[in-house]
Amino acid sequence: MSGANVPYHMRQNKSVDRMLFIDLLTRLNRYIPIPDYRYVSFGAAFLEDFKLLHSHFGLRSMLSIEMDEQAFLRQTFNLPLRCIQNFRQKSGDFIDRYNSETPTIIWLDYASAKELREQLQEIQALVVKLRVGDVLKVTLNANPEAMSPGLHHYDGRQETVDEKRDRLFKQLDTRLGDFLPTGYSPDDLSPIRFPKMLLGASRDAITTAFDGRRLSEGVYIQPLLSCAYQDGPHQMLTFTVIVLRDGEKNDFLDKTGLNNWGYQNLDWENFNKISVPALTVKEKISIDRLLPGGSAEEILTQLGFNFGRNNRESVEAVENYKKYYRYYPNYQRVMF
Amino acid sequence: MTNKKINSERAAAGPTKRFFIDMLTRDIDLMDAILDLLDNCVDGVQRTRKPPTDATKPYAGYWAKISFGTDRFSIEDNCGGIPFDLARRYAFMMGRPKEEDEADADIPTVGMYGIGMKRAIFKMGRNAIVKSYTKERAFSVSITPKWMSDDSDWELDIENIRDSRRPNLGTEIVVTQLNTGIAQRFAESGVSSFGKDLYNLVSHHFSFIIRKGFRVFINDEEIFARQFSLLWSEDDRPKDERIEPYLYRSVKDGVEISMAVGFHSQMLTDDELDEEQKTKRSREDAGWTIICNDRVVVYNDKTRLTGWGEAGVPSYHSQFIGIAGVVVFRSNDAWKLPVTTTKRGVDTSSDVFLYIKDYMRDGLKRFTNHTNTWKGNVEAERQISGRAKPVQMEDLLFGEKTLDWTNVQNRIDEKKYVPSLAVPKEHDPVKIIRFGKSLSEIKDVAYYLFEDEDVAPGDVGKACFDAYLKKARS
Repeated sequence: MSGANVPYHMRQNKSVDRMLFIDLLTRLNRYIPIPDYRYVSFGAAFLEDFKLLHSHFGLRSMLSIEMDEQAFLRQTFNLPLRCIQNFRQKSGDFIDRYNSETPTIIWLDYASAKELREQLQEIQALVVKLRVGDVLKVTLNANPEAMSPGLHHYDGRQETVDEKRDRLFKQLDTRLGDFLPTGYSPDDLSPIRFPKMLLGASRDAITTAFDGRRLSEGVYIQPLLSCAYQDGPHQMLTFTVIVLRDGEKNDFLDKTGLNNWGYQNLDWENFNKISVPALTVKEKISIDRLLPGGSAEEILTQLGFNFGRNNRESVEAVENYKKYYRYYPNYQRVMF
Repeated sequence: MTNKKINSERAAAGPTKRFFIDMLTRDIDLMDAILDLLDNCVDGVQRTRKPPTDATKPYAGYWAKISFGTDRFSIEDNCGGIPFDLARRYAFMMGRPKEEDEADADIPTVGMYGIGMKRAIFKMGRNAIVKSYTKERAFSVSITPKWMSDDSDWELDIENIRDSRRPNLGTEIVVTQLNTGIAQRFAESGVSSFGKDLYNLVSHHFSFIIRKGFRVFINDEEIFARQFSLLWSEDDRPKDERIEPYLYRSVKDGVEISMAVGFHSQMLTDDELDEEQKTKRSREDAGWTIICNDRVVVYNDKTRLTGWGEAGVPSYHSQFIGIAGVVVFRSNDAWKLPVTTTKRGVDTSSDVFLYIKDYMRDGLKRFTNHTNTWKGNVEAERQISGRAKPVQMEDLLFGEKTLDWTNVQNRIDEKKYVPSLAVPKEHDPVKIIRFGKSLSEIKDVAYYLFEDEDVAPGDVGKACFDAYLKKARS
């Protein structure tokens, strides 16, 4: 799996995404008893999310799934808490056997773009087994080029961006089949637009799979939070949903206060675009002294330099930081 | 109807409203009921009989707009409206009287039974209003909950619409007081998959009509039809290096028939075939599509219905994913078409369908044979099929290209075109090398050769072989 050797704990955008998830769970905790939940995820070697969930909510039942033998051994070596059990299993097999009576939070943290269809089918297989109150988070690779990497040629020369998007779109059409959401075109394969298309495909896959239960049991899938972020070469999309009963929505939103939370995405249309700059400690402290409230211009004047290639990119970076600074990670060198 | 006045010597045998409202609607799926309404729009276009400005786009300028939510359903079109006389005589009757068949005698409609609109309304809700804006006049008909429960009232009031400033001549149907299950299914996208499912269904079943210029909108989103094309090598390619479609055309008992079958896409490589078998795609462009009077009644079928797995043709399998065919039946007499009442299937007992099925199988067999012949030598086949160009459905079915047609049993009005298909060169036959290696080993070699450990295993094997072949021959 790509990224196996990337230090996830050093990725500031992924870290913001994870802290937003924790913040979301804190709000959900006003409505559902998060400490009583079981947590299931792909923990990899660092098991960062397991540590966070345990320290914030004291979850005591935690399962990590890992398919690769060496990664599994390394994970076993690194297990930070006694309450984490790890299994060497493929996510698909886990889902096939999944049958839980315990309320559960599951994070399907997929990485590969080439297996998108399989991933959507796994998500479909899982959602029909979820119980009311279960929370599902999914990560998908939102880098359109990762579906078919490498240089491609067209009539003996390197293809243009438009030719590439046509080719990738055809490939996506073949790969996704009915999961391809309606109303999209090759133009939507730009890195900026692609997460929305992927969110649409996930929405269609989930609502199609869940329709039988919705009509027979009066339950539905409520989207809560969606984010796109990029640290390395791959842009990722995450979304979190909960299973609710029909007619429960208003009470749920009142009690959790999600309506007033600035980061919620209660439909499948929008997502948080997390793109905070990597800052030195000194930079972070200087900017934070002007927050909340300071304008991007004020901050940039104070700093005296640009982050991007030009002023526009720089303002975007600072605006993004302003939006997510409370979730920004602090990295320190620590001697053990 | 007089079913309430029972004579002591006679048994009551009249219908009840319940029969139509609760019983008849059970036989039809909600989506099919909505397709029936769209069929009516298209039949409306046929009825206006204006000579089209562009013969390939006879429906250009016409549209239908469907919208729905948890409290209402509506469909609106600009297809000429329901003529007043037709509304008065039978448009609102439960079933079309035999003598009224004459009205549409020379129009290639798909409507036959005169039940679609009413059945769709009853299926969805308890209250409806139908408005028709025709050249002559504008009027509306209300179907109320009271009428729906009154077994003695079998007529509906036609009311004139005074303010007829509506710019389009057409029909508008609005259904309210939706039945409980229906309202739930009409929930917004993101909660219900209904919109997406309906979009797909319409894009399949109205693909031919949409390609001919008709426009359909569902909740303001326009529906696009998928392309249908088959690969055809260019004229300069030699006979044993060609990919071509199999074609058939005839006129039988007042039904025009045109058929084309061939490869819509190239054969799958071994690795693609593996992926296909592991995670089956929900949409495949393979299989047979059957069209009656422009309406798709069977879409991408891969079962015995269309000749797969019978009389020497193998059953459908992923390796045949590139094979697609289309049959078009056309007649001014809708009763002669091999279509079922829901218009979502062929009447398998129809003589005309049984007759054509022999040719469907004949065509199909040539392409399954071709696939089997080249299995294990897919690379070479892809070199040949990769040079073939896609030819669009209209050109395949009705194109005037000069071809070496064969008349079937010397009949003038029945001919087929038997394709030349590439055959492997026998002087240096290809053999398959097959072996298995552990994933970690394959990844190591893939990384060594391509600096990418996710390269398809087949490509890794081939690259290894090619590297040693080069050494062996240098």
